[in-house]
Amino acid sequence: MKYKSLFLILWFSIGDLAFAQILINRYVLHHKFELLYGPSALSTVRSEILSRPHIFGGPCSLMEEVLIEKNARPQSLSSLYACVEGFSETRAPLHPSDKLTREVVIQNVCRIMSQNTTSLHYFLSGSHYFTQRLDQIRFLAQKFYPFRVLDEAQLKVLDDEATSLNLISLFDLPWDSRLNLLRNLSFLLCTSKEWQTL
Amino acid sequence: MMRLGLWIVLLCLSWKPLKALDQHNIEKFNKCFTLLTQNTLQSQDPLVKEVQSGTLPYDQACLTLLNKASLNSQGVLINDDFRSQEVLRTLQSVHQTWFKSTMTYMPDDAPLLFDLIEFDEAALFVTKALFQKDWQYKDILLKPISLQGRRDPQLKSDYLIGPRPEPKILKRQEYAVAIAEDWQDKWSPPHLMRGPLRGIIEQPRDEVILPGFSHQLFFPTYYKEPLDIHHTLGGGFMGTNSYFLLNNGRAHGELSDGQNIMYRVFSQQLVQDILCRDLPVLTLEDAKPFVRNIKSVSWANNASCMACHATMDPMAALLRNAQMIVNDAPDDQGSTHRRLFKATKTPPESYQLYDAQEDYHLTPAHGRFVYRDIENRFYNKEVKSFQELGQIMAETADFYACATKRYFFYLTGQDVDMQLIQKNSPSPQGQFLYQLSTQLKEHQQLQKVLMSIIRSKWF
Repeated sequence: MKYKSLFLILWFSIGDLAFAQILINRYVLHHKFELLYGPSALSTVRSEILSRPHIFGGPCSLMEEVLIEKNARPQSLSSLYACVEGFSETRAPLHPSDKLTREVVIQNVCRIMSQNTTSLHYFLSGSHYFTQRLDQIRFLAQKFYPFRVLDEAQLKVLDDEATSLNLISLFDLPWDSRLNLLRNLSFLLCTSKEWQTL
Repeated sequence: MMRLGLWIVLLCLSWKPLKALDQHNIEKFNKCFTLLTQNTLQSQDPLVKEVQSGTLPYDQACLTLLNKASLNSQGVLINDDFRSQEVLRTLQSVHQTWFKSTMTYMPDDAPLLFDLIEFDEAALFVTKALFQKDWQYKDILLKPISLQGRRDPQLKSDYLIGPRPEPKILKRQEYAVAIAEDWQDKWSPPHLMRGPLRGIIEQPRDEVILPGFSHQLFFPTYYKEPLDIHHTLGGGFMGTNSYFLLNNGRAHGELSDGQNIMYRVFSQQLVQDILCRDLPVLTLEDAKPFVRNIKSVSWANNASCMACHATMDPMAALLRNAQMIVNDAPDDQGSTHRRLFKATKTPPESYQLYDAQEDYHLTPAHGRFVYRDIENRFYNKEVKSFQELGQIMAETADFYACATKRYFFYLTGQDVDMQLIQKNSPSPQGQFLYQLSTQLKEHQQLQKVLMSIIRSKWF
């Protein structure tokens, strides 16, 4: 078990040794979470990630703010890229640098995504066609890593980690059913770091 | 045993890169796609299939993507679709970070301002140089024009762009202009377009005329003088109103006196923004010839002080005719602008920097570019306009090293120190950037810099 965890950590972090890595910014995270967990994920992403430009990076576009007056109050028709914090957000960092805070927030978002039934089912959509557990895991892992070839050993490690990693209980996720296994897998994949790096 | 251990470690370390080699093309394309669009690449994207099948190398796919944001000779997107707008927006936001805009939060900044004057005009110059084929990189220091973003003319926002999220102020068709203590005129300036950037076009001249203004907010003196709010002093972004307003470092109403009051922050900011250097750039030996014994100008006596001032002050002297003024209209309708005095007085022929001169702000703009670049080349050249300043700045190694260093950071996440960008640099990245910046000086095409980095081993 100890060695498998080590293997998993190596798999997700060895890139650090070979290349300088860029973390994806808040706009890319927004698109990625929408793709993975569907439209129901977006309010969480907006409040937890998009509203923190100086942690997640990505300068905004000042002139994409569009507000119309409705009942004497501004109503937003702004794009995703419009500034919400004013001028200072136009100079948000290109690449996120506060890795620790970022990691904590992402873990929180992943926990919410994996606990929420609607977003979890969106993530699991299509996986029920697979009868073999490893095929199902491959299919779901591929959603996070669409352009990576995942070999069987890696999938087995993921399977073992999802079923036995006690880490999940820290976040109050029950794990006594098949759905909860997939819930754990969702959380595990979501908190892995390599899909967030370029 | 030791050797066996070493082999195991090496095997572990090489496992990932070897695996990455098989996936090289698609992973690299995924990286450049994400960086150029701020979106996620999906497997059904037509370029993905070509890259995966091996018919299109990743760098060609990246170039195809980059070319989507090409602008025609008027500065309008040639293919105005969602993806082109994404690439244009992303690169504009990259260029935004090059310019600090230190005066964004003036204590009395007026909400009207950024619906009239492009907040990121300097960045628009760089974006235009990147995507418009008939523009060269050095044009950002040379074109005597002002720019505006072309966005969506149909998109109507009811509220003004403010410095902070709240409170929101309603946009108006007509604005009050205070041109005397007890009298107001009306003004209907066109607002800038809102929405995603779809082009970068020239700002028409003599079209937006403010009918009058006051020199400051408290105890104002009113002037009933028409003022073209988009007038430029030439020299690309350096001469634009927006760059002056966001970087001048002085209060409303102040007049340059050639000694204590000069637009030094402007010079300092310009050196940081486009040459990527912090002052001092001169050695003490460089600064010594500029030392003068003048009682009223304490820093002029000291070579250490002059190591910064010899660069800052003669450059700021080019802005001597400028004054920041305000349209102090009621109900948050005011705005800040730049007034330019006509040069009506001639200084004595023997006039030197810091000599006392009455009505210094009415003498012809006259400055000097005093600078030592990263290749140790010393510049000490007289300039009489921003156009001339732009020409000499475009000769420095720093101007090119700065752009390559910034693109390298954007694409690789590695920030290389300017001093390391040398032919015989101890840093391989420094040597690579030296090569790129030397080439950029020759070909003047920013797109080639981006592509060279994308093709490099650091990407």
